[in-house]
Amino acid sequence: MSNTARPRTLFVGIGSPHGDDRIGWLIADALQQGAGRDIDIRKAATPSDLLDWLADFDRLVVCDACATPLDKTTDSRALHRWQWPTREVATLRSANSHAFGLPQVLQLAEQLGTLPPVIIVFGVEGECFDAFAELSPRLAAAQDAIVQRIAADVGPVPTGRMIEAEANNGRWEPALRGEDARNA
Amino acid sequence: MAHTRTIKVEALTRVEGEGGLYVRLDGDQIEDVQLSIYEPPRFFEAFLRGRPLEEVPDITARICGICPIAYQMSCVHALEAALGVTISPEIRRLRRLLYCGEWIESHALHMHLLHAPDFFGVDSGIDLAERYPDEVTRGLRLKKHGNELLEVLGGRAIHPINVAVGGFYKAPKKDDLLKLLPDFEWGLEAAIATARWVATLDFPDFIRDYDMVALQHPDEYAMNEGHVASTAGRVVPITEYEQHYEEFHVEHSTALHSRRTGDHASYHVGPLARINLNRERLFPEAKELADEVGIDWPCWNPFQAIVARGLEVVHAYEEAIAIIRDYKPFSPPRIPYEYRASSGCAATEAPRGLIYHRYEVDDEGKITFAMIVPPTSQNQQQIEADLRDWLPRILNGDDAHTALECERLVRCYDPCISCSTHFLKLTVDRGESS
Repeated sequence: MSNTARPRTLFVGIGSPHGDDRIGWLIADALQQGAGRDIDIRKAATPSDLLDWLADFDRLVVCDACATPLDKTTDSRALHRWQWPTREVATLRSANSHAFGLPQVLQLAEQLGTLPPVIIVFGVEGECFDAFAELSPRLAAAQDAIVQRIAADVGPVPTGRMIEAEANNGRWEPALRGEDARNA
Repeated sequence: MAHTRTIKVEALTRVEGEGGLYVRLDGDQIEDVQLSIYEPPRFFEAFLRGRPLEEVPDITARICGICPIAYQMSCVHALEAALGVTISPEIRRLRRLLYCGEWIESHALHMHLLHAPDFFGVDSGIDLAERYPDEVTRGLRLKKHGNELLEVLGGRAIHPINVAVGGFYKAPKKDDLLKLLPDFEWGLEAAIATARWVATLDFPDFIRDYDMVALQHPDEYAMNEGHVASTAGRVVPITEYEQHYEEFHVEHSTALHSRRTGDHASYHVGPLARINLNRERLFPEAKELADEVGIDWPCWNPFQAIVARGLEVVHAYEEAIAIIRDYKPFSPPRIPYEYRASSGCAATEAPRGLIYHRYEVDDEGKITFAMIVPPTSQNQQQIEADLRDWLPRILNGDDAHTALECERLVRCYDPCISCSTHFLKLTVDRGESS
């Protein structure tokens, strides 16, 4: 659908400067460092921003924080990876509070025929979304691992700490492995 | 014997942010209506204290992802008032251009994805897109134009960083603005078609007795400066805003409400207030269209706010095109200033209505006090008053129908709950005690 001179993958980090809602922007910044010419990396403040950018891409990868209760069985926060369409994304409650959220944006683009053929959504569970708060220690410790896992989907892996990612039925717990778990 | 009935909307949809609505009835008598904003307070005003005044535009821009320019424009004007800075005409025009971008982006989003579905009996902008793909696609192109203008002037699309106290950090290149012109010329025609389309919608006959409040300027459609005017006839300088309008706390909401001082009456801010007070100062095509759309101005029907938004989008395109065509790079982009202990206030027109800021600064340029009154806070008491009069017309159906009709009315205001928390779940209490 697109010619070879045009970036074919669009990565969008959705976020804000508020606590763990920062993660989408931080991932975008990190991916930018090692990005090839076939990927366009953008940051969005609201999911509706995506509607401006979807034309002419073959693949869309989105990363957004999501608010979920702490998994008490594992005391962990998780990185989720979904391939659209999926019922799980349709019910995703984004940390972004605006009513026209990511599921609605993807459904609208699909309705209008502007959605790229491949859509991957990463949801990063956060725990603190206070105004201007820093990333929570748990998420800060997992940040590099999250970058590595997402980079595996969007193209070249940027330089930096390599942490082995472990996929497990779409659920992945980057902060709770090895050294990062002890520091969390 | 009549019984009480409670209707709750646990989470209002198609509004910006999170809030709920609680209605308690005794038979057909409305006992209580509460618009509850439960998104947690963000304490931005306290966060600003002790910060250098230069950080205020970038910090306040982060209050909202939809209308960052409103916060930036209001704070820079307030701080310039405190510092005694007079900006150049070139800076002033560029600020109006920036505001045009935000009005286009915010209005286009609300009209097509959040509000228009209410008039077609569909649940969302997605369902509307199935029936009206061309109109929704057109609306999304308008929204995109607004964002592109913000990107050129603001330095980036999200949370623009180019706005400074005294002006801009960098004036845009003429070529970067001229590149926008073909899209904006198409956008003007598209905006006119959109305004005509929304003017044909089937509006409920709900005429209100509002006191509408907006900025008014003798020479232009007010955006960044003017007096605070009211359809009740008050015209006061911005410096006297707090003498005439006050914030107050209500137990059921984390956002402050606003009212007139003295009689404590509610008032209405937003695009309908602006058109009612300033219609004669619209740009020519928007003004001509206002005379064509079948509304006998002034308009007192909140459901027709979508038409007012459509007219303002037309105005914003006209003015943006005029500014871009005339633009010449200028210097300095920012007027220098010296610190002094002082205070200053300003009001501008956010897409959702009048927004007021006041700051106090010390002689080292640090913020010692900040006060931010967003439009949704000002409209909350008016929305509750509207609902009290709207409810008797919609109680015949079941609770789900009543809740839906309440939400329709709330959405007329395009409330930005995120901004006002410093917002909707509906609860209708028809308690079954008899």
